[in-house]
Amino acid sequence: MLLREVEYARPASVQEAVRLLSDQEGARALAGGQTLINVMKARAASPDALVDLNGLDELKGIDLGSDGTVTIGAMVTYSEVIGSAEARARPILGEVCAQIADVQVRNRGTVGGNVCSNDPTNHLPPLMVSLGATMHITGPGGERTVPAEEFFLGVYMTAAGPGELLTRISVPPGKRDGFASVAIGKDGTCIVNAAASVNGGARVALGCVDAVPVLLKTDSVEEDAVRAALQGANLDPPSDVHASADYRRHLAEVVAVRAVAQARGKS
Amino acid sequence: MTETTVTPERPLVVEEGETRPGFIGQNIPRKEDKRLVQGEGVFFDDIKRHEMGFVHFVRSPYAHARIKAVDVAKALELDGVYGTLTGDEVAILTDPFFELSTPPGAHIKDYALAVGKVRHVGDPVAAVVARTRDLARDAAELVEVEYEPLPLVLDGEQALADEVVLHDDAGSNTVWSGTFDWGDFEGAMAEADHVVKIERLHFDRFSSTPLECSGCLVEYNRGTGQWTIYGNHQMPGVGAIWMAPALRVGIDKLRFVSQDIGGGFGNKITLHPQFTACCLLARKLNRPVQWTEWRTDQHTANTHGNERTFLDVTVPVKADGTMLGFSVKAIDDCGAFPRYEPLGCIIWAQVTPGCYRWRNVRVDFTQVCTNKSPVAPNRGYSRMQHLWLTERIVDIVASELGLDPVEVRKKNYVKHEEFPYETPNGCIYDSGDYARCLDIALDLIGYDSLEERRRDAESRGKLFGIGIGSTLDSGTNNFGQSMILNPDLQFSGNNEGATVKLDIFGEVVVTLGTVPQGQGHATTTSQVVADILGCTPDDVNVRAGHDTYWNSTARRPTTSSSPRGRRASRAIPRLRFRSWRSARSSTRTTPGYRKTSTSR
Amino acid sequence: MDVKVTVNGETYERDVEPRKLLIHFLRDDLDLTGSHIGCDTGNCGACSVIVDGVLLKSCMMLAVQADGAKIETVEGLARDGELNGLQQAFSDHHALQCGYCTPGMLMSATALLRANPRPSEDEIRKGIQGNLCRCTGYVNIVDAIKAATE
Repeated sequence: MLLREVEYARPASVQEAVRLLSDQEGARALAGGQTLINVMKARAASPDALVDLNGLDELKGIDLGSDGTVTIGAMVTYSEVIGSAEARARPILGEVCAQIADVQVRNRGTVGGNVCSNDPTNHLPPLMVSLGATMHITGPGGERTVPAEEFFLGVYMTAAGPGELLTRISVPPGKRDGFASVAIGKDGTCIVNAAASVNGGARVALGCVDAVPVLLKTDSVEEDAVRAALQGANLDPPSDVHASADYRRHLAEVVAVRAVAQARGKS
Repeated sequence: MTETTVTPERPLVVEEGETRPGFIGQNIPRKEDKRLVQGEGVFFDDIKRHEMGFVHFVRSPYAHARIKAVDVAKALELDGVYGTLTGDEVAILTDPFFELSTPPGAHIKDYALAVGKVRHVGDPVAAVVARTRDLARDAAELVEVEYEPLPLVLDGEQALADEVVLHDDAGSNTVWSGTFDWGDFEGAMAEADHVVKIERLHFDRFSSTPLECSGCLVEYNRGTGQWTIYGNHQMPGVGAIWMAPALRVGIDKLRFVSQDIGGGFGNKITLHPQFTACCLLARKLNRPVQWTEWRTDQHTANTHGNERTFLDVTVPVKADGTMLGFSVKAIDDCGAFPRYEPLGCIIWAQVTPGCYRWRNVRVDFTQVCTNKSPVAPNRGYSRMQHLWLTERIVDIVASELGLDPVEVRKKNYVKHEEFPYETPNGCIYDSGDYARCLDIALDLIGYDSLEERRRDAESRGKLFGIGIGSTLDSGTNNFGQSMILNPDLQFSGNNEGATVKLDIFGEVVVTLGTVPQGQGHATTTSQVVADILGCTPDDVNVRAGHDTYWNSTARRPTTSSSPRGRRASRAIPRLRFRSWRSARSSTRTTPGYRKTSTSR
Repeated sequence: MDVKVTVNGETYERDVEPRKLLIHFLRDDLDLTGSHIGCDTGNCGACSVIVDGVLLKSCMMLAVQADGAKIETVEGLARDGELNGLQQAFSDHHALQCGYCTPGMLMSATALLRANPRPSEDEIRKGIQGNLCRCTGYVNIVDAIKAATE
């Protein structure tokens, strides 16, 4: 429960946040804190300073563009996604956010925090990859965009490097998406998860089986094709107390098939 | 206090020939609730003292290692650190806690902090006290401990080989062993038409995990040499028996106080090592010290429930499915220290044949230590492991012999007309109708349609399992069996005091020695007292929570409900009903006095 | 850092270290011990409070983040010693035993009923998903919340 000493800053703008993050090597952005604060309680991580992004209106809000693109601010909470009429343009966003943890965590945890922490068991990294989302990053050198499938670099590591901030995520239009997982208890930590988007073929992104989401593309959305893609992927998932590597590999196929079936069932 | 809204309906027999309506058995509002739903409970961590220091334990990252050196110098340099305690100091200042077992377990040396060796991950090696909780943890990180890792043993069966021995003083991992042999097992084998053998069954380690972790606030009074311990120890009476001799003082020097406890389930029965460390720190630093266990500590290093391996189970069975008994070799794994646990070696014997008419039972029982955190008597402990065995036996026999798991149970259950029934080891089951209970349970889950539901599940790619468990438990006991474990153990009797007094406004005040953890002792006690005095539960103030000043020992909650009522009722003849009524009526007629004796 | 909050209508101002969690600030600095701590991983929900109208677990928020906030805790539910309907329903339905999870459970139920005055049983279960109880098995808690809506 007891954190190491840490400095705290509450910037008034994204620009100031970026400056604070780049000035101090040991500074970390504090989003919803539903992961970071717990890690700090365990003293598994001890940043020198926290740059609190709560209160930055620039990172809030969900917009629905005229082309159907949904743009979500990095500091939008899961609950805000669930309740947002704009986000409903891509229904899977709210459906997956409603499966994350519990009310309290959904009220505080943020979309940006979920993808930037890139814990391999998180829900949103595979979802963003399957949706083909675009990540908007701001840093001392200005703004840039990175496709979701290139955003996730390793366990707890993303393309948003030191001194940079993920500001928003753009999700292209679409409806035929699915998400399936096997979790520890209802809405608990995922043992394996899969997100799928169907558009002619399928984009299936698997979570919990590697350091970053594993993207598989199939030309056909038939079950056999999905199974074949999984078997051809030579997954080498980790073993832990919840599942052996073999079992996780088996589950990956199961949830991938379910996610694609769910996506196909939508019009 | 919550007003009782229930009118007594059923007559209560007070003495022979005398009846009046009673509150016992009525559903009345709980007296505890009004405080608790307002966040006005008093849990140990809610209590604060001026200038108190916070304790943080330095814990072992190794399951088994020799402690080569402990250096607290850097921790002491940190501003705000009040002091430290190490295993070396503990070894000088205290004696090992007494062991319940006969040898070899009797020779185990168990201290408040690890002395010489650590024997499980999380074993406390040193303690630090500081001005804030955070500082205490900061300082604990600065304590330097040099370990020499040792080979370890994590499995009960392997522990029996003594290739790695945890306790050099005991010379063996075996804590206690004994053979229980009732009836005529050889005769039963000769009589059997089939013998079913089960090579190995394993009951896993578990934890009941109360939502409130353990902890205490300890004050030391230099004048009286007395410690006051505000803590959530579930059995302070037993805790005191461990702690006082270790601290080399009389039991009167330890005053335990608790009001609300956030669940216990047995996990809080063996807190004496941590509490003893806190006592030493409070005396050494001459200031109140407070220890809060965090959940990670609790999961890692606090008590869990016993793990038990059953080997070579042998079941003689007649052609008609009648089981004549069983024999088994049981290996109970109590983790690094037995503490309360040798009692688990015999406590299962309260339910030796489970629900069954098994007359020939032979149990070869051994308890061993392994390099895992110690266990404590979690929820139905020892009986649960044993009753799980009886149910596994029944299902495996049914499966091997092609018998119906329901019919074979009914065939072997003690019959309704056989009660009171004496088990092969002399326990009396007073009443019951197990076959009918099973029928009711099967009816409630729609057992007849289960096959259909199973097929339906299969058609949806799901599996549908059906399991039957029939158990019974000993609701109360006086721990007389502890003498089987160790004839010198003065552990039997469970004395307990209750006082019932009439107070200034005519209210009845009851004090109990029990340590409630959510069971509603205040409410149920008020019902018993109200019935005997002829008042209402609203008129009875029960002091919930324990205080050694007016309570004696305090014991396990599952077994306390019935003796508690009896204790309170025995205290009552001193307080005559009439005197209560006259006192009350006089207060009612006095202007300015409150109308009814509701609580303050 | 200086932190000024309003808790159950009362204003408090304290100097706190940035590393202090909101739950420790409430319990240790303000002596509002009704909210409890049952885990160190954000799982148990015993520390649930409402901050500026949002239900959250106060062990996953720093006290300094609450600066300027309006906080509601279990201590603010009853008025002049009179239990509110939800508290009374918890008592009536035997929805508590040891009472340790109860404050967090009540705050979650309070937030649920504000957002959804007539929740279905499923919605109630989802609403208290973030709160663990080790005594009751939840059935009576669900019954109590249901009763409080009637």
